[in-house]
Amino acid sequence: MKAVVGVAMVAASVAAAAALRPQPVDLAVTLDAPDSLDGHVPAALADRVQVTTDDARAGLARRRWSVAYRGGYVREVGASQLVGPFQDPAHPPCGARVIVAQRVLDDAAPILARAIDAELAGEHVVAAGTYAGTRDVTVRWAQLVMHAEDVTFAGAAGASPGGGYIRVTATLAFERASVPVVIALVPELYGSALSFHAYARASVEVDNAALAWLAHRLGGDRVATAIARRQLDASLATTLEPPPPFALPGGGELRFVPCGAPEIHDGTLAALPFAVAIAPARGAALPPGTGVAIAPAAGGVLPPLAGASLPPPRVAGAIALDLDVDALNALAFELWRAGVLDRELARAGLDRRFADDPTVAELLSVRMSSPVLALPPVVTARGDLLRLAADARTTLTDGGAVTVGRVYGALAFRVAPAAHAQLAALAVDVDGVELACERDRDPARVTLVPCYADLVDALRGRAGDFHGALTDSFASLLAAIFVDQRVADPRVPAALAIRGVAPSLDAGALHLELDAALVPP
Amino acid sequence: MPSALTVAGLRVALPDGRVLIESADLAIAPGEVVVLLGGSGAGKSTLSRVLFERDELAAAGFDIVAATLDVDRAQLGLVPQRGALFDHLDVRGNLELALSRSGSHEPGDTPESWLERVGLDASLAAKGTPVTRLSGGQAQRVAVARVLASRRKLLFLDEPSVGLDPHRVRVLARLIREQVRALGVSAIVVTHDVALAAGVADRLFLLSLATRKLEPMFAGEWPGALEDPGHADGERATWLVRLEAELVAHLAAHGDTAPPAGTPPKRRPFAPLRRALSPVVAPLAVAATCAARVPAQLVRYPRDFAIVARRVVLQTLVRPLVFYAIVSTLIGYTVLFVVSKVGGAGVRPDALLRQIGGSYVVALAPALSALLFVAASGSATNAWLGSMGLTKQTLALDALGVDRRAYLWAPAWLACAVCYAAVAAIFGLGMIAGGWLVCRGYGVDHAWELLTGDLVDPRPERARYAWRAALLVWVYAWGIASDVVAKGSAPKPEADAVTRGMTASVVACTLWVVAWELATVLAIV
Repeated sequence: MKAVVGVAMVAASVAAAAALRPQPVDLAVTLDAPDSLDGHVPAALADRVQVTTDDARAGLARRRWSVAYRGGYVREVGASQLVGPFQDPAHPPCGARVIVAQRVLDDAAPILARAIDAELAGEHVVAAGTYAGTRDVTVRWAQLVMHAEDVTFAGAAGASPGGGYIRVTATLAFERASVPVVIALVPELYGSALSFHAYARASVEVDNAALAWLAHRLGGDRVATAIARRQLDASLATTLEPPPPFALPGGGELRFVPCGAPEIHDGTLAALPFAVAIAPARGAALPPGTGVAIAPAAGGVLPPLAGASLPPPRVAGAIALDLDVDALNALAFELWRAGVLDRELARAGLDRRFADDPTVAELLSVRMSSPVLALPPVVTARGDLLRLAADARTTLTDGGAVTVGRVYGALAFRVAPAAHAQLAALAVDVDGVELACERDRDPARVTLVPCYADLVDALRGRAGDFHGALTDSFASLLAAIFVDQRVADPRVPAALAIRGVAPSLDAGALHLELDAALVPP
Repeated sequence: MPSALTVAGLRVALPDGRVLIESADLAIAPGEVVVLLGGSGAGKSTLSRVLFERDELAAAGFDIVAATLDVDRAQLGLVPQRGALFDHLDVRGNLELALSRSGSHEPGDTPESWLERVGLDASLAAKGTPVTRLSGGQAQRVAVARVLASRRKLLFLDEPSVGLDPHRVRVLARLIREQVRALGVSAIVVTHDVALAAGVADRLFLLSLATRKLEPMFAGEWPGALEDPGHADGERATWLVRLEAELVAHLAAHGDTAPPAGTPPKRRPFAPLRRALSPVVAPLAVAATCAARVPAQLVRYPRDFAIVARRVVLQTLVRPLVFYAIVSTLIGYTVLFVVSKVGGAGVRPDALLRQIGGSYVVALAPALSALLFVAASGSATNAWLGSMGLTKQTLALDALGVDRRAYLWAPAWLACAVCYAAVAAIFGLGMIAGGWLVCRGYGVDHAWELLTGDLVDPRPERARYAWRAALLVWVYAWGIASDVVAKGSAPKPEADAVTRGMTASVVACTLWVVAWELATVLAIV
């Protein structure tokens, strides 16, 4: 009998254990809508959940619900949403510019002299004689206030008193006379096209008064002006213009349009602002069942408008490109809209790399599909860094379980420490990796739960390990785009050869210094 | 006056069917001292066990039949061989235990008075006087004082003169006679000692090796207890010689006579099954018994409870504490160190340590601490309980009217269970400390929080493991305690039975642990 009571004690222990078995409430956030930032958590966790929202006035807003457990373990889910204001495709923000240094013009001078020689070879001018050569060619970024002698004719060309122009001086030598020429090339923007109005002032210096009179009568000034216009207008307009349209793999193109008058600093540089042309997107092609991207505007997804401004232009080498966050976001948006980023992600084979990683292959049962960006990546400026954040979807397979994962990742671009500056001017680091899994999804709502948290945590813990690889990859990407490129135009007797690129950050904008020089075509 | 004891037609057969006692009859009047003489193997001690441990005898396979066995068990006191003083108590404690169960509230009923009554110095009642310091004679007299203090009306003295010199034998005989007269009690004295027998006996009986019956000796001519006043030395000498001669003659004639074969015992159909299940069933029964008795014992005799529990706490927790601390720290260190290396080249050890956290403690501490506790602490208590049985201390408890299950088992069981829980906690802390050393070696920040997280604030997916650990500690605590008490308290016919009990307990508890580990793992999966 007592043994029966003892057995009952065993049974009671089991029953009590079953009854007292903890029912831990895991974090689960049911969003009011699949693309919403608003959601609710289980009541049992309400006191423990911390909700934080990234301070994103325009961009990829991120709200996180997290529960911290002892030992530094955090269970977290997050949702992303694009928040406006958004860029207007009809008036894209003027967030980029190309900066041409005086050095380029200096390089252009001898080329210009050779071109003039070729053009005027054998030319005969009454009274002046046959063309003998060009000397003392200078090409210079000029501001009118600095050259009072040009006010009459450059002003007539449209240059404003505070504006700038290209000032070319040369001496055309004939058998019996030298003709000093001053040419003012005043940039003008017609719609999205930049051109130069050229006005020249030339005088034929001859040995005697009779010849001078004769040269004047024959129109020596007109000859010089015509020569100058024919050579320089096309040359300079090509140099000082936005990058050409860039054909995107898989269709579409990136287009850049001038969006303002060049800013010219006397003897130093000229900067031409331009914009990235954008068009609304319907949304990304997401994995089945994951819904569509958020469409904040009736017309579709658009890049956010931060209202950024570029710092004063500067160029250390020959040419520089400045891109503020609006331009970068427009650029990222267009690449996303065209599917380039998703294709590049697929080509990069993150899923294959993950699956083929020896550690993963040996130790982990979870596999992932190639991520698809649900929203365009968004760049924000934070202090002395730029942060690129992206929200993607991936299908996670673990044994027989298939789950849609929401992956959020961010990269931080910082000015490299001095010790690493020789390798790359910009250091790139992982600034965030988050994963949440979707559960109980229907058209009206979805529940997000933490998944593979320890795995993600381990990955996050190893973020520092990716510093070198990411920095190198970014440097390689820029090099692949710019280095050893030659920008040429058949109308121009020279090509722009780019030998290197050095990225840096300048007041929240990406500054690319192109080591370039004009070379014979 | 009614008899203090009436036995008629008592028949005791050994488990193999041989008859040890055949048709024994005995009646003892109040105030009478009866001496039972007999050779070795005649069944004298078995007779005492019939009176005090009838159930245990029956369980061991003895066949006991009596036409009449009329005795008030509550009035039956025992002085076992060599006194069987409780060695977990001091001299005073032995007497106080008897007094506490005597029902007497007389002001003079003190340990000191009872010691003086048996001719011992009252200073022996000073606190802290261990019973092991007593000489054989002193121990025997303390045992007599103890049983007298319990106010029992019928005393059973089993070989009380063993180890005493002739002078002390006579002193003991006179003491018995004085107390019998003074307290008006009856006594049965079982002895080989002719001097003692002659000194105390009102009547003499021989447990005959020839007939296996209880036969009166010198019926009608015995002069009565020779240590009583009025007997001359010459008379005493004569009877001593006669008595010895009678006894020796009997032994010479029948000393090697084996008990006669009787009717083979009936085969009990489920006996083998019961024996097979006994190692499992007995602990469960002990668990039920102890769980039922703990509350009452705590309320009625908190001091007794504390005394026994303290002894068990010393055995199971305090003494092996250093052992547990060292082993657990070593295991914790080793486990995490090995874990930190399993990734091989290219895998950061600190990342592995973060993955593991405190899960190794949650997973391993209950089982490892249980197995070590059984082997070290459980065996200590098991041996202690076994030695109490082997030295008849438990029988002496019964004879004082002390319920061994309430007095001994219940506090031992509870203390053992609580101490296991404490050892599990200490073991967990030790493992954490070992892990902490590894973490420190790798520069892991907040190692303490990391290693205790799975215990204190587990993540939801790991909460069930913490729950499992808690369940295991609970089940192991009372399971191990029950088995230790059951196996320790099982009859111990010889010293080797104590070690057999320890080994059996280790094996049984290991199986208990393995079964629960597997069952809970399967339940969780």
